[in-house]
Amino acid sequence: MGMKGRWFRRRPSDDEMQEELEAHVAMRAEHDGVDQAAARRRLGNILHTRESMRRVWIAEWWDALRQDAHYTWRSWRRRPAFALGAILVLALGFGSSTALFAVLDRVLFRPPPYADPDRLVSVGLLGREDGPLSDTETILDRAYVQVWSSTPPPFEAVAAMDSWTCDIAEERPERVRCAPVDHTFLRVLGVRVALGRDFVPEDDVRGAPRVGLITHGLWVRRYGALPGAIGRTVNLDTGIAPIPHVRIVGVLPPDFEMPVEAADILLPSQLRPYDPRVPFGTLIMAIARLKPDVTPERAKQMLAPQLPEMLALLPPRSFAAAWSVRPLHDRRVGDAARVAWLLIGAVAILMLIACVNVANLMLARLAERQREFAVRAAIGAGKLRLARLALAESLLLSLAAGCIGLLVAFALLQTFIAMAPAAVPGAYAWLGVLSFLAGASIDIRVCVFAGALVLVTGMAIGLWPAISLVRASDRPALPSTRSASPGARPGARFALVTTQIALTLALLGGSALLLRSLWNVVNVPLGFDGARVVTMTAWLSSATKYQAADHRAAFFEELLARARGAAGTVSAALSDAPAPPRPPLTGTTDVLVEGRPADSGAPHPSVGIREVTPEFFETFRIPLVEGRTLHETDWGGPPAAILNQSARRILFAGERVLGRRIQPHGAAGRNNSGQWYTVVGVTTDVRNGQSVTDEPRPEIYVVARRGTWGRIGRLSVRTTAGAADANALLRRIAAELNPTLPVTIDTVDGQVERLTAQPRFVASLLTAFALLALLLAAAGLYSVASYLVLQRRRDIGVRIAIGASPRDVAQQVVSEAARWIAAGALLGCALGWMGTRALQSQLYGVQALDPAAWTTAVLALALVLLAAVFRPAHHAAHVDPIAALRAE
Amino acid sequence: MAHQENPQAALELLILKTLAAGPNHGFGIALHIEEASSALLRVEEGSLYPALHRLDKAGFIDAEWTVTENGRRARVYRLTKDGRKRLKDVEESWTTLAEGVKRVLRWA
Repeated sequence: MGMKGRWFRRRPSDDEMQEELEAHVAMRAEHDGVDQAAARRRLGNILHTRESMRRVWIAEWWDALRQDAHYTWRSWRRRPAFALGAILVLALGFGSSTALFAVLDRVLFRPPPYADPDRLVSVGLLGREDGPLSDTETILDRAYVQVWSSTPPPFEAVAAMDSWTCDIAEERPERVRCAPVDHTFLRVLGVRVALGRDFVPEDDVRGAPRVGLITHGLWVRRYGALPGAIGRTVNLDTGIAPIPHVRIVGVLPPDFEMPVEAADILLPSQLRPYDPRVPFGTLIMAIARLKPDVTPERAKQMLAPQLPEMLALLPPRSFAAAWSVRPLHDRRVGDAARVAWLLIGAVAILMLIACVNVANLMLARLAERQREFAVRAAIGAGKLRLARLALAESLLLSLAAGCIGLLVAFALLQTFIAMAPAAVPGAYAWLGVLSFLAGASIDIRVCVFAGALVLVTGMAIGLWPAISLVRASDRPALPSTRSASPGARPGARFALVTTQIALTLALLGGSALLLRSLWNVVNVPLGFDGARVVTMTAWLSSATKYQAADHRAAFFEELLARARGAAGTVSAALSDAPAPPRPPLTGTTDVLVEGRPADSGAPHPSVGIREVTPEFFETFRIPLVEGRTLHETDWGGPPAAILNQSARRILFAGERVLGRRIQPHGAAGRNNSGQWYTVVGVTTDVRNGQSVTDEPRPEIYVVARRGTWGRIGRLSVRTTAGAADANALLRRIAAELNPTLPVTIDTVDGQVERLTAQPRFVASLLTAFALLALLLAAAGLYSVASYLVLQRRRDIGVRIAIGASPRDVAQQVVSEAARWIAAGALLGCALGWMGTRALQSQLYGVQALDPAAWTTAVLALALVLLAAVFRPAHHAAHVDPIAALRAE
Repeated sequence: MAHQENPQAALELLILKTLAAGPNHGFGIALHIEEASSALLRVEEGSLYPALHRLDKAGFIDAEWTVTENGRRARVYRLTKDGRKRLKDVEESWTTLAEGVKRVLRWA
């Protein structure tokens, strides 16, 4: 046995101790020539001896801890209010922090579930704002296939991916997400299938028999987790084309996550070999694994020479594109990271306030117990022993709070999940942080975080009281009540209260700003009236009788006719796109104007195209500015179009617009039919971007053609019926036409509400935190003021005895409290001012230094805190001078 | 170990002194103390082992299971570097104390 540290001596086991004593008895018996019993007697009570030996090893820490725990428990039982209050405060802090960590861990800290995720990047072209290319990396499929026929130099491997909504078009139909991916996809991510096989290059050749990989979830849900699922075929329908007989070749592992958009089925993209006859024109996403030692920045430089070639393949006027190569994780979380940090900052402040509050309570308790501690010090408890007692108390508080906090966290997480709108397929982008809620749970990682938080908090809040105890024990024992005592250094407690007030104000100010911003978001003029408008989306799967465009049109036209005839219907219209404020499905940068040469005129942003039937504008009450609305005769008559004001400004600035003919043209397939539309009217702008806070974009409403329709139709009905009645009515109408048809029915208001889900979530969380902080600050101030009054009872008594009025006395208490509040508020404003940069990006229509918001916060703070000192001031005013003096 | 109760201090000194002569097991230590003191001191065996473990825990002695010459497994203790220093200190203070006590006794 070599040299061991003083602190890491190995404790012998009980068996070893027993054996050591038995050996002793045996040796004694042998040596003295007596029998075992006699030798045993000589040793005394073996059990007792062994117990003493054992105590040598455990005594110091375990016994002391038990003692401390016992002692703490006794003192809590004497003052349950203190213990309960402190535990509750901490439990709320722990609960909120833990629940938020569970939600945000995946956004901020947890590495994505791929091999060597640091080398995975999202790669593609970025477009200028409003251009056809989005602000996240995309790549045109045609360019991807032609330019990257071999892996580009910075990468080890590249894979394309896309995402569609599709139906499982067979018995037990189900809407799922399908993701066409390159056969290299899983290898790029470093993921292996759990069952079956991965895609092979032969699967990924244009025209090869279709195969698919299904997620673990789908496998369990649809195939009962049976291995026999491998080899079965499934009929899919993308809404544009059926994909029959897809053979399932593998199952993805249970923890698999798609990099950007969720999917249930992976299909080979079959983009290659390049065939000029195949219509390309979809913007897809590409992921790549960087070669070792290549940074994203370097990769961008290495790709630069290919840019002209890529751009040449893009449709004309897809200007201002540039390469972007960034970590895949960034792409996954997007803007959510910023929101996540904001929430983490807020909950950290709340936690800090809770800690300060409990430390303050403990200091107050120490002041009460100063005599007891003095006695303990006098009878020989060492300084460290006293300090340890304080630490043990805070750790036990923290531990108890941690247990309750875990329950709070569970409850909060459920609340968060309930606050998030029901998962809408493909609705990732605008849900932000909320899209990560589905996967959030209190798992080992979260528990470890909570445990660490509990320990650190326990240490932190015990530290100050422990130090003050050590310092106090340096002073003479049994001081008189009015001399120095552990908690009697008021400076410390005032500092704590001021800090608390400052932090609270920062939170209050932040939440006031977010509430104002939310108010602005919710009250954004959308440009239309969505109240009492109910929408129904119907998908005609190709497995049914709607193979041909005219069958589909017949269905939708009948649907519209019946909806119009239904009780309560004011007006109804069909459209190809979701109802406003959702953007139209297609857009183009290329609108031909009759009489103008193509390619003339300044480049303009993408113009959205929405196909509508007459009564669309009446249904949404979109006001007309020029010309006329669509008439019934326009549907099936000469093609007519209506522009919004932005589109009019872009296309016909300062010119006559009514009666002009236009032809929307461009990359997006649907309206690329060489059709000329006559402009008959101009409407005001309505919100039609990705979020309601996006400024309205130019848009052209073209009249739908009769006798032909795609697979998806969106019916909007303005009705006088209630939402539930309208829902039932529409469902019945759809069922009359086809009882097996899947439809989704929703109110426009409901859709708008979902669009504001993230700001709502953030604002309500922050407001809850701020109110909690305010409550804690009030409690802290109350306790300090009460303590102060208690401390100065004799002085106050003397003052009253010599003629001070109760009013003067109360005023003194209040004015003193007002000074701390002012100090805290000033500090808080400074804190808030520093924190605003982080906040500004989340604000809409309000500046981070908005005077109204900050004034409101300061006023609310001052009001609540002054109310908190009312009772102590009242007490001070009613001190009985005789009793106060006698108490000495 | 600032506050050392006297009986324990004496036992500790005897143990350390015994081990200074070489590694030994508990019984050997007890025997050695008895023999060296010509049976004047009889070790309280019930407190010998807790004392040994206390010293082990404090790092003054190390313990190791070995087999004795007559084939018995025994826990054998040996002095550590810290233990040697400790022995020197305790011996000194003990001699001082004994000297003091002797003088007082002479006086009385």
